[in-house]
Amino acid sequence: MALAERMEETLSTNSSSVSMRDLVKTYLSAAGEENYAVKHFSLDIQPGKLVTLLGPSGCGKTTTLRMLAGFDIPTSGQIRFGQSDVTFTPPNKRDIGMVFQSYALFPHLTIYENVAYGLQIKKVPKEELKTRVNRVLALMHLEEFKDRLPSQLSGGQQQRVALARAVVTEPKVLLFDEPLSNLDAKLREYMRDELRKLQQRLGITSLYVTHDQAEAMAISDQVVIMTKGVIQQVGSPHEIYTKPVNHFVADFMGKANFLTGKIEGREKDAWIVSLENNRILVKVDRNIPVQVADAVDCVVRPEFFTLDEEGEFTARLTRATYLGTYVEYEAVLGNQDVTFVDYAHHQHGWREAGTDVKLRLNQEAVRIIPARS
Amino acid sequence: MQRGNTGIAFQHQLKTQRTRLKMLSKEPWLLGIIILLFISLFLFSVYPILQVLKLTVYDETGFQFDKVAEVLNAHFFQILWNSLQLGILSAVFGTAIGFVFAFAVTRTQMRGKKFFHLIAMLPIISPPFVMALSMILLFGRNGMISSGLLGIEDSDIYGLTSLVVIQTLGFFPMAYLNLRGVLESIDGALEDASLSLGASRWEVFRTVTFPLALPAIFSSLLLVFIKSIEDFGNPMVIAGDYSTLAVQAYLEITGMYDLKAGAFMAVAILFPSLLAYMIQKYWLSKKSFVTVTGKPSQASKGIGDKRIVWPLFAFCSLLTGSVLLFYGTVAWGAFVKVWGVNYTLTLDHFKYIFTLGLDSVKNSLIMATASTPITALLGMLIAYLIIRKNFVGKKLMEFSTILTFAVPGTVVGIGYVLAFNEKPLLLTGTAAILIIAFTFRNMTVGIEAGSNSLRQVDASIEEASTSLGANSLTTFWRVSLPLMKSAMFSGLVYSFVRSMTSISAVIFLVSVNWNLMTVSILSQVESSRLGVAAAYCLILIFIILIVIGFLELIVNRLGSSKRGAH
Ligand SMILES: Nc1ncnc2c1ncn2[C@@H]1O[C@H](COP(=O)(O)OP(=O)(O)O)[C@@H](O)[C@H]1O
Ligand SMILES: [Mg+2]
Repeated sequence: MALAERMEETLSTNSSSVSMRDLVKTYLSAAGEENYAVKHFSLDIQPGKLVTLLGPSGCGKTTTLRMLAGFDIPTSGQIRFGQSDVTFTPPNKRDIGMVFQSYALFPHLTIYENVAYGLQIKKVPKEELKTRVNRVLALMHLEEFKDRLPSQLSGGQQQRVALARAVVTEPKVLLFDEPLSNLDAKLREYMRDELRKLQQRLGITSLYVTHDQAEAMAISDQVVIMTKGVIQQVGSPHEIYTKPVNHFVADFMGKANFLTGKIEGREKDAWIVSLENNRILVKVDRNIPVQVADAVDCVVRPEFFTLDEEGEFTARLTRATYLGTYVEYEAVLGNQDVTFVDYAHHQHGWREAGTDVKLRLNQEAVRIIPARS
Repeated sequence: MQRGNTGIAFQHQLKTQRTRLKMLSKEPWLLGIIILLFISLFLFSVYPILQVLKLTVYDETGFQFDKVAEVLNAHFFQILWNSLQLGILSAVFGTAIGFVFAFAVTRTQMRGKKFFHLIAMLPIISPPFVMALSMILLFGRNGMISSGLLGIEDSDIYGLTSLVVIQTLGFFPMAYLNLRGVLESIDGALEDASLSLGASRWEVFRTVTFPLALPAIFSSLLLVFIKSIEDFGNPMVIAGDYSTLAVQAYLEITGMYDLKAGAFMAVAILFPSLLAYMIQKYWLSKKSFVTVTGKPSQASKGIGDKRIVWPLFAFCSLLTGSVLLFYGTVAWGAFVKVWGVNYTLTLDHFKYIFTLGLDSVKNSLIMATASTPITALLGMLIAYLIIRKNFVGKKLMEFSTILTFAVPGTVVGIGYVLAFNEKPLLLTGTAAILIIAFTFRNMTVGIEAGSNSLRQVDASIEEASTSLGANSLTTFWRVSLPLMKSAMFSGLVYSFVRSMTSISAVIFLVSVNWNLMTVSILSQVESSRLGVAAAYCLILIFIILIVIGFLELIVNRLGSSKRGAH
């Protein structure tokens, strides 16, 4: 579907930058205490970019999104669209488009009326309204359904209606709250690619909420990892995967081994870290507050190890799981548990649990983070 | 809660409320409507009741406690006891019968369920004293059964027994409707499970069905009790020397011009019924949720055992037979010359109404038609505000909407007379006071139905409308209201029926220019023109049936036009 390409001609963009400054949202608990749903949250979104909030359920993603939409008002802090302060602007005056997890289509209106709704509210002249709605419906391949009610459409079709309804008004900011979580896996991947293409072509500033890290990696310019209402790290998907700043981020974004080591010294711009009778060099990162003699955790992704007779580490396998594309091994290295994967098992077969193996570590990829206290 | 936390909590609340107010001020129309609602709710729900309460202890010279002692004499307590006794008896009989009826209709494979259900609706949609009128026609001095069939002369049916019979027949449908939902929702699988464990039918009933229905049984008892003690029409017609509060209050005020004594009687109904209502609403309704665990189960077809079904069938037949007998008698009474003396068929009574008594029919129709859409729409709007909006004093709004519903009509009537008989709020004697009384008294059912249906609507549907640029009122009008269609329908029907049939409040508010049908019927009964009264009743029921059918048609039309389009 060359949906995105044609969309470009149809809709002009009026998107703006978004800036959130020190947002706090508290709720009163039953015990009369203030609970932080979102805590000192600051984030800038450049015009036309898609930023994803990623974190476990209950970490404050929806609350943040709803503050941006205007459905929740922050306890303190400021929100700006472009130059204008919208912190206390009602949602209907913010010029946003929103795609809901449940789609939230108007059940009593036809597909055409659903999409036309926003333009009617904005008092767009009849003729123009008709053309705009019809064009968007055509783009989304929804023409044939336009006289149906939402309940007569499949999940994927409803999702497209929700999207059409949100973009037809050419909003400044587009908001998504787990929009794909009600679709099955295949459709989800398809829709997420379409959605990304559409967003890039339209250039609408977007905030996207999900708890699915693969989805976040696939569609985002930037990912914001949060937990318990606090931002842990902001960066491109690549940065976050390769340079996690703490245990939470490393663990949430992909799989990670945390191997305990110790900083022995420094050599130019690298730390010398002792790790299970070996010395490895790890690039200094200003964001990681460590110094010589500190105990640290080395973040080692499962794919950083390779089976190699000349490898510097010796480990005893405790379990091998054949997964087709790769074999996943669990092993003991010194006295630490590690998990690693072998993609080359077609060449050298796979090893039994109980045997000793030699492993080589891709040292350049290893990051260190302060050990858990 | 700890001391330290109270401060934090208070500050948090303060800040939250301030933010809400700030956001509300950005929707001036919404804010205006909320303020207007608060003012009118205070004026027409709370203030009149305060007036009644005030009158009981206070007059121009200040607090008056000696007068209080004077009113609270043995006579007063006798009347109070009469009302309570009547309430308790009717509640027990009405609920018991309602329960058996509901059980038969919901949990068995009995035949004729639809028919039984329909007949049980008759008392709900007709004026309260049809039963009383019929009682006189059947068992009175010239009664068809008492003197006609049995040859009893001087049959005296005025008193407690007749009242209990009439109220039981008139109010058991309320208990039935209240219990029906719960009995329906009890999962048949639960009963089947007990049966398969070797329990007998009786044991299953005793240990599963009955305990699950218990909260609803209590709430039915309370509802019928309230209905009974605030009933004005039936006791007025048939109580004889058995004085009850609602009737006595009316007589004190209109007969002896003793407002204070009347207010006392009214307050004496107010407290027990308000208490019963609060228990019912806030305590029992929570308990009964426990039983509503799922959809009615399809697995269980209900009891088919003939030894259970046949007695229940006989019971239901007898009951609906009695209801039909009572209504049939009134219908017949409308068409015969002189009941008990000359049973020749005639249209005289209708001619009488169409020549001399059409005004009150017209007035009733005008008042009900004027207040019904306002009531239903206001009900939906308030439901929307209460469920979807946050504003200071929301709980207060909720409470005051319940107030006029839970407060007995007699109290409302007296309260309105007290509150609105002076400038600048001089409303007594106008049509407005009747319309306002109807609106504020009948709103609650619409609000409840609207709230329930809104709770089932995903709030993000309305948020979607808002995010697309619609303000709250537009969202209400274009999204929420269409989704509350069926609640709107119940609101319309209920408010129309109540406007047409109620009497206890309006009897204080009608005037020479604005008389109502129910009041006309009562005065016809009092002047022994039973045929005319019966004809009025028949016309009233006829109008209600037509209007319900009409409303159903409109609401269905509104809903289906969309579906027809594709
Ligand atoms: N209206 C509310 N009242 C009280 N607590 C709330 C409310 N909304 C959210 N919370 C709390 O705020 C936290 C964050 O919720 P949310 O933003 O919905 O998380 P997420 O979308 O990341 O799953 C949760 O602990 C939740 O319980
Ligand atoms: Mg969420």
